Amino acid sequence: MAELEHAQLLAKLDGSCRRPVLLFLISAVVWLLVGSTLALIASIKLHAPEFLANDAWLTFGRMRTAHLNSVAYGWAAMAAVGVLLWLVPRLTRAPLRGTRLLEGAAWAWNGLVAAGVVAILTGYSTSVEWLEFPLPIAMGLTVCFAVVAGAGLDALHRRQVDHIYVSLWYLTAVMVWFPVLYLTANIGIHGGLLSGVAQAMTNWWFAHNVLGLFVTPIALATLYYVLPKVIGRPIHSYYLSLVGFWALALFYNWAGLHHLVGGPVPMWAVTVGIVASMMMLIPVTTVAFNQHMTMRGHFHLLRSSPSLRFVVFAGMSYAVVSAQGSFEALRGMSEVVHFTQYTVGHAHLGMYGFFSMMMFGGYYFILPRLTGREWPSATLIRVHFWCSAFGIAVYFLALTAGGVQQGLLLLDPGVPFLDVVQATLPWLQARSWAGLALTVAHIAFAISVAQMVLGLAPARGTPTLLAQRVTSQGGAA
Amino acid sequence: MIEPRTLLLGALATVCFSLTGYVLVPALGVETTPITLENGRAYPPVLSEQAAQGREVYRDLGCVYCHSQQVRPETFGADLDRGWGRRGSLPVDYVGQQPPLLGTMRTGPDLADIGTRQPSETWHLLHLYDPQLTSPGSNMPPFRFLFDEVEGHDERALTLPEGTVANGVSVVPTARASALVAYLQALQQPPDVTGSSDE
Amino acid sequence: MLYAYLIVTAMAVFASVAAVAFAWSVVAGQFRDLDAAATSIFWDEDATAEVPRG
Ligand code: HEC
Repeated sequence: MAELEHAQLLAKLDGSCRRPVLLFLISAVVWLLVGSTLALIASIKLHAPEFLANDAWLTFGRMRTAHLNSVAYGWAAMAAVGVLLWLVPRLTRAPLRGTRLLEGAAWAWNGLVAAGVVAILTGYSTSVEWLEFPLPIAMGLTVCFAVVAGAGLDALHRRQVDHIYVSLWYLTAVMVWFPVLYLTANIGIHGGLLSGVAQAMTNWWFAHNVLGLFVTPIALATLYYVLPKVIGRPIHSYYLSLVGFWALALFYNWAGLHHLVGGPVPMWAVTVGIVASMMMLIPVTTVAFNQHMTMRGHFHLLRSSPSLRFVVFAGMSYAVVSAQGSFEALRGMSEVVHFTQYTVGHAHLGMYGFFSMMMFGGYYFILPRLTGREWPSATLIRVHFWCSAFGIAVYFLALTAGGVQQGLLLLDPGVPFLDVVQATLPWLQARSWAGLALTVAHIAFAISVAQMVLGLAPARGTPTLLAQRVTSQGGAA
Repeated sequence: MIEPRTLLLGALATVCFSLTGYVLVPALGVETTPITLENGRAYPPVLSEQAAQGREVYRDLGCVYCHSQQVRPETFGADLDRGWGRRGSLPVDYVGQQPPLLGTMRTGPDLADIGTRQPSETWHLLHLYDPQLTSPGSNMPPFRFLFDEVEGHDERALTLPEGTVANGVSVVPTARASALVAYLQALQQPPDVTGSSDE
Repeated sequence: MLYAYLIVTAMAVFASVAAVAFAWSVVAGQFRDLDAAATSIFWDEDATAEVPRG
């Protein structure tokens, strides 16, 4: 095909998704800032319980929950949907239809998450983990997602390509998985159909799968797209990525019940949860191996490409967090670390070190192409990357070490409970500092994004980090 | 190459497979009706109206994010040695609970059997008003907003150390505080309930 | 426990199939597969934009 035709098609594809994608991506950044603030407050409260202690809406149980839901359904889900809606037309070469409807879905999504967060702060949380929004809000979000999935599947149906690229497998599967999970869990749990232990099992079936069958596939779709595109080289083994996909589809589905190890649930369910968790080593190894082999010999490119930096960091976190998760599910390991801060560290390595970093990589790749601008400042990019990377590393290490210590002390009935509490405090303080670093990163990121969408960033030319590197090398030569 | 139909059906099949195992089978198979104990009482007992309201307070303040309500079995962990329960928790303990407040964190101790371990209303009220009064060094937040400060003497007033509040002011639990304590007192998992967790 | 055996068996069957398929692909020399699908994402010509060319 001629260059010109390509350019025209590209303009058409980007034009079809520009407004909804920008709306989802910008909203996600706003939620990221809201979520970071709530997170910092909750984190400080754990080592300074008198901090903001006089009002019910500011109490730890509500702040922590408002944080989780604003980052999960505001930041993570909206970023994921934004990236999905951008990738689908590129991969199907079919423009999106229903742009107006998608914009409406984005606005409604924002309204619903805001309503949900207010509901939590004012005492209407359901206290069912990952499903704290009251039922009507959850139903609203389902409708919004149905609009997104409808637009995505419609484009898939009108595809102008022979091959369905691996990223598109993941995205297609998500369009099926998320509605099934979210609807079943909400109706079963909040619709009064399930109670007692059966409800707890459904809760963890959902809560684990929303990570494995919603955020993980979208992150992997991003990895399999951005990595080859930036370095200009196809993924090492395309075939292996197929094995990885089906293994994830099968095993991740069953992993969730490891959250109830040692609990009052049928033994068979926990056993299956543990087995499936170990089996997850297969899809994870395929991704890690593929990423490493594709990157081999190209690591120097990390210096000039912000997209690549974040995506590679995220991919590495994926390998670490998944391997950790598999072993964490084992009974012996669970006996020590379940119920401790260790789990919180693990969850953040997953949702932040892996997922959020991957989305950042997606933003760095997508926004210049949608706004026609370059990232405004190399310094802001560096602050963003290093504060995020450093922050999540400290976060993870502090809570991992602190969690193991906490778990071991809890297993020793000779240690009074208040001594266990005292032992965790320094680690919790370290976590607040780490959270501060992450917040600084997010502010730097938000400033960059704002400049791009407001048209204050330079028009497209040489990408920012690359340009700086070329000039500095030119000077030296 | 792989067709979208294969993909969609495959994706749907995998999630329905686990939905069957983890949602439908338990929904139909796990105990959902109270049992009758040897002494003729139904277990678990129905919460009093006040305790049920207290459960709602527990839910809306998010106590579940720091406290589990599940005692580990004898062979797993040290819950029984810590005195957190008199036996491991069983599915029947949660019959009818919506939601079951099993919890995933133990920033604070397990509360499945707290009503047995700490039956004192006075203790619970003081602890909720300010955990430092009963448990110095605790990182549990104070729940002062569950109490009213009233002028003059009140017979429901908490007995607080000198100087905690201004002279002549009494601290009185609100209905929410009393309900929450009634719920905590009702949290008990009696030892004479038996059953297998492998049904 | 019967459920556990059933479910785990089903997973094991899948895993074996996947393993065999993978081994086959190595033998068939597809391990480093540069087929059209893998390169199909490069159609829009703006690859390698962020890194030095050449
Ligand atoms: C930030 C975490 C946190 C939150 C939120 C929290 N607690 Fe606690 N809780 C603790 C810690 C730590 C202890 C142990 C030290 C102490 O007694 O204060 C504790 C102890 C307790 C005890 C005494 C347990 C025993 O074995 O003596 C009770 C009862 C209790 N909490 C009830 C509640 C209720 C009710 C709520 C919600 C209104 C709540 N807690 C919210 C952390 C928390």
